Amino acid sequence: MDEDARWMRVSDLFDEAVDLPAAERGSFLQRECADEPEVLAEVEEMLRAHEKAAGVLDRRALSQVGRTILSSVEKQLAGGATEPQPSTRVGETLGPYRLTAELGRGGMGTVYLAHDPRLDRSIAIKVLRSGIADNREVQERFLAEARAASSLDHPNICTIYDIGWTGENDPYIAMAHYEGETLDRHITSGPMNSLMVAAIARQVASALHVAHESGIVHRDLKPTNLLLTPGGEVKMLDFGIAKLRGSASTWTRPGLPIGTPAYMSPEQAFGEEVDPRSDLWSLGVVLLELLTGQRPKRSSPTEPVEWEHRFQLSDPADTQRWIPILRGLLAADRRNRTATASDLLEDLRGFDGADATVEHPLPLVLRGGADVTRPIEEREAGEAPGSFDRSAMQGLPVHLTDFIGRQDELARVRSLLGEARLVTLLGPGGTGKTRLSVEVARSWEEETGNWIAFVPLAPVARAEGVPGATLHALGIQETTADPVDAIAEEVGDKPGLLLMDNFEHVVGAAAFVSRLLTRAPALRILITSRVLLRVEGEFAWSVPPLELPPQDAPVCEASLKEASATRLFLERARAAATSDLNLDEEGLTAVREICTRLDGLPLAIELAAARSATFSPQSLLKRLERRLDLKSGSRDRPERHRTLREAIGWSYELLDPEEKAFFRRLAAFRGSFPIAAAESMGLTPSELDVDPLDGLEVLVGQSLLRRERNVGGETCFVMLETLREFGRERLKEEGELDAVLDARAAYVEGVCRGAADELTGSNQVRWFDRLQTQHDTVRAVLDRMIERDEGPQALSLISTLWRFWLARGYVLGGAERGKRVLQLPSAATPSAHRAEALNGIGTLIHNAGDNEGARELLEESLEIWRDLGTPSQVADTLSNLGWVAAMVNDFEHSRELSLEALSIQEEQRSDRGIAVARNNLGWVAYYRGQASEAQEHHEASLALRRKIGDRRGTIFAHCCLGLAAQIAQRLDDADRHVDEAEGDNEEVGDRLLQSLVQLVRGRVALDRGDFAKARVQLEESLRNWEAVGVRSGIAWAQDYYAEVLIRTGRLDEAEPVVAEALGHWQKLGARSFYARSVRLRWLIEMLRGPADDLTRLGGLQKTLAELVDTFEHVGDHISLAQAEEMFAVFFHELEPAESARRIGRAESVRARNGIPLPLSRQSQMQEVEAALRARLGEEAYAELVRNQNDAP
Amino acid sequence: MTEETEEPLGDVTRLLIEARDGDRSAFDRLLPAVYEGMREMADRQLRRERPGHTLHPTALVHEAYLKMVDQAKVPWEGRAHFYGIAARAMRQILIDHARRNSAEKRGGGWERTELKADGIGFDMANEDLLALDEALDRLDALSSRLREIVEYRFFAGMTEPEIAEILGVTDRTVQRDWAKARAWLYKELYPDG
Repeated sequence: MDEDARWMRVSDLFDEAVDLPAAERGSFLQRECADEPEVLAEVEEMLRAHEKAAGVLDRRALSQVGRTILSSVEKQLAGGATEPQPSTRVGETLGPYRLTAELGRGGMGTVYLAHDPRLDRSIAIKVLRSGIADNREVQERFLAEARAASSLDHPNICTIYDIGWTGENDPYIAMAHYEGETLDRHITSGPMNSLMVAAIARQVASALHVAHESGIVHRDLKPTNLLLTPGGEVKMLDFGIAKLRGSASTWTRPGLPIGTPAYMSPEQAFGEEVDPRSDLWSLGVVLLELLTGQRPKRSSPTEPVEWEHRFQLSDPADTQRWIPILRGLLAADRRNRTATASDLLEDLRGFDGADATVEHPLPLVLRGGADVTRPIEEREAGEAPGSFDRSAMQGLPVHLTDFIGRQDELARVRSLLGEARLVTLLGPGGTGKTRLSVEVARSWEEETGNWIAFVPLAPVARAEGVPGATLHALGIQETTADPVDAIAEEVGDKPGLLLMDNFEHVVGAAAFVSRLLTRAPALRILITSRVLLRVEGEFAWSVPPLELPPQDAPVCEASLKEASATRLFLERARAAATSDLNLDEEGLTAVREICTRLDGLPLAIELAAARSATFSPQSLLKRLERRLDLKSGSRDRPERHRTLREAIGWSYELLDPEEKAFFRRLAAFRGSFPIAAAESMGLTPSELDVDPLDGLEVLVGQSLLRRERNVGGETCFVMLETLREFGRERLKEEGELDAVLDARAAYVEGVCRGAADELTGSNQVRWFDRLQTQHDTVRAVLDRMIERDEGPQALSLISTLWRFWLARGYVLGGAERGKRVLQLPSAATPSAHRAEALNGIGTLIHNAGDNEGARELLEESLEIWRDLGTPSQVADTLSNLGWVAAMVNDFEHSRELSLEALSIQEEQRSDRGIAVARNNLGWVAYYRGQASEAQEHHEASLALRRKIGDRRGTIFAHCCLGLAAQIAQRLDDADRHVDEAEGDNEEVGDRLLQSLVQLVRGRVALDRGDFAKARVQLEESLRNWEAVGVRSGIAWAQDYYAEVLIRTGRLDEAEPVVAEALGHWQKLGARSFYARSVRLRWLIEMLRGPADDLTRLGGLQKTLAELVDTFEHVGDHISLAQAEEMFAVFFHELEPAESARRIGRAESVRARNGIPLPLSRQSQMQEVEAALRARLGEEAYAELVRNQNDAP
Repeated sequence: MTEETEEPLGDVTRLLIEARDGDRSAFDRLLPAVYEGMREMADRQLRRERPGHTLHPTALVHEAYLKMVDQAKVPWEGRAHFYGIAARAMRQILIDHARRNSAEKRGGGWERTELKADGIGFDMANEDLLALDEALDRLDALSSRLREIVEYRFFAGMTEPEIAEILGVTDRTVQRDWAKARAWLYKELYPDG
């Protein structure tokens, strides 16, 4: 009997037998197939399996099958055998609603996502399980309950829209559909931050309050009935439905308590009538579970919960705060329990202090809902190789004064940061948000040892500037890649904290923050802002003012030192006063009063204390009172914001008129500025009778200005953002704004003029530093020029600035500003400045990885230079264009451009120019696999670079010669060149060159077949390329690295590396290099699948043929030969003749270009050839190979 | 995010419509498209989850349907097709993971790929899952319908009436076949009972 027939027989017998009672199956089978022992055995086995599979599954038997499959198997098997699952209704319509998807199934029924066509919105529909309400009385009760629940209008209660019955008389409820997850999903992540639990408790209590007032008890409060939206709102689900189930159960089995045992109150468990206090009990259990991360244990729902002896939160203060609240909720006897939800609200009010309110309690992580913000092409988490260079990151600002008080706040925010990934410190200017955030970050860094980076946003003018500023703070090179991608890649899974300071004016960048958190799961962000960002996952915390001493207690120095507000005043006053500050009781009372009047605002207190050299506390108080009372009118307690402004105004008014003018003029500078900048303001627009140095000293003394640590050898100053705003307003009031901004522009133009010649000279670094310090101001000046269409001035600025932008990695921001300048109407006239700017911006864009964009600009630049008749600029630009063309693998065009450049440079006798052109020609030859031509050009370039003493260029040329030798398989020569390059680079210390050296070494080792060495070298090279942020280098190293992995059989490791390389080449627009990576991907696919699947092999053959075409078309001879050889290696058994032809073609390409087969691949090819010879016969083989060799 | 435009969203919808209109090649192209999309989602789901969480195949198939198919354009039978294909894709995804895991265990592994292994919950079970996969292939040789039914129920979480609709047979047949396939697989996988 053949297999099919046997199976048909088994199948039929099984079908018949399975329908019989188990006892009769044996005799049935004996009757039917006693003479077919095999069939009999198999059917019997299947029937035994059927019994086991259909019954309760033995966990141990299946324990080796993973948890997922286990549950899946159990559900499916059990479902199939015992209780038929209700079929899904997706696709049906219920009333007006179309069910579009199933959201979940539970004991009560199934929840669907549905569409309401009338209002065109998504809703959720819960269809109760069949049979749950097939009794008229129950239906009516259901209706009544649903009606009552729908009458509850509260933000924390799920809104009910509609109810109805399905065709089978199962009731359904149409309700609001919320994004988010129920609390049980949050509990699995361990204990929740105490503040968040309080926020959740408050919302639930508030909802319960409203429900209980309306006479509705939830009856089944538990984590799965509490949904937390991404916006942080709690939505209570399934109101009153428990009662329905209760009715159903009562109807079938009287006396059975309803509710979920773990959350059920003792009275509920005893079957007594429930009341609002039962809900409070359940809430108590939920809160306990949230706080501890564990569901409290008890032997039976009738027992009280034993929790107190083990209750310990990470913060003892929290433990103490919660104990009375939980004790009230979890009293076994309900007469001793917290009586009402509003009592609970009252208890919670005292929970987290008077002023520190959680305004926006939000969930911990960005989860929930479909995450559509993620791009589909996403790197695998955790595979970011290489290091994350912490030294390149912007560290925290150093404050020269002590951080006073705030220990509680510090601990509070610090603990929030342990839980939430996005914490916003909220508060008006001057509340000390920045200082607090810096201290939090510092303590976080100390405790966790993770990295932090500081992103000052005050100088960033627009929301679009935020990504760039963030990249900078992280020390990441800007490229055309999405900054979010770049950061996510760089950060990988290394936990760290971004501190983004002064977010309020760039809230448009909130989406950036949100995407960043989604893409970089190891990242936390701490923000200071006057307004909320309002993004998913934001946890906002209002920074309270400083603590004031008790008003009614007698004052003494000790009590003032205990309260942070007065302590700040005393310490700053002591620093400001020249003589000793000996305060009597009256003085101390005045200090207390000043701080109270200033609402405990740190900035206001500092400004006042700074005046202590001149005024005693008593007279300070008198002056302040006058000012505050004057403005506050009849209001008994001025708002904090106004208080601060008045304090600033008061401090400002105390300045001399000259000092005032000086102060407001300095407000023109964004970020740091050096003394020279201040001096430029002292001289124009109208002479000021103040010596700038004195003026700076005065303003620093009055806390209106801060001295920064020396930046790049220069003393710099910075004005706090709140003060700068005030100063700018005064400038406007005085009608000086335009004149001052003009003066600022003149100053910046002067700086750039000075820098123009220095940026390529030996003082380069110092000038880069100088521009760096004032970069915010420089950008502001440039933006104003763009706004006012001052094209010539702007062109002149960027024809200098681009070098700085390139050197310091402001590639994207610089390119963006540069393009805006180039588009100005007044900048359109062709001029040397425009040509230079085009060349500079083109270079920036090329470095950012946009070769096509770069080409456009460079071509325009070329045209202008040609018109202007300046040959050396023409030649330089031609060389740039040639390089760009090589990068996009337009090899022929690149060669033409470089040849033209070469001939002009030779006429001009410019050694450097000739070297550059030769270098470009050498690269093109190398890429195309023309070994000797490459060698010739690079040797010429090396000689010239040596001659002009260009050390970097010399090292680079050695690397190039190494590569040229490598493709010619003169591997010892390659070694020698790389040794020289590396030796020289030890002194120069250029990381980019180092990565190139390692790359060549890796490649050479690979060709020798020393895979271990190749792997080490290429890993290092890759790390270095990533650190310098050169995309083409990264992709190149990845290609070689992947090749090592493939050849050592690590296909699964190679795959993601190749995928990354492909992404890079694609972004660079490098067709030929892309195809090289495709070849590697092909190899992985080839090696991985079964070798006998002809359909698969057919597909692979086709892909390979396409690759051959591509390589031939772009003239990449090395890859062409390799691809032909690959064909022979993999298909010589299937297609011997074609394989021989291809070997012939590869041989011919290799011979023509001087690129022999690498050592490490020779034995494999010899085997293939031997096999072909045996198969085809010596002569036929030789004939096939030769024909190809002879072909042109 | 330029990448988003390359998402095979529209593709799947279009292919489903073409397949319904009788284009057999559209049907063939559906599997790779759906597989790619679902693998992305699975990876993402695993990455989003904390360790110890598992992949929920049924949820994933539903999610895939919601994300990849424009429901307004695809009628009921398109949905049926989709689920059929998603079931195959899901099987492939789970097996891929299992295979990768056990390969890693053997080869000593490399730090890069290990993290997802845990999330999917097959850390102990790769061999068994692979055994299931092989058993399904053997079952296919006996009856492709039985194999399909297992895929639909197991990997796409479909109900019997839905499967009946896709296969064009009665519910009763699906029930019988399911019982049979289940018994056969059980015996294959756990020969000792």
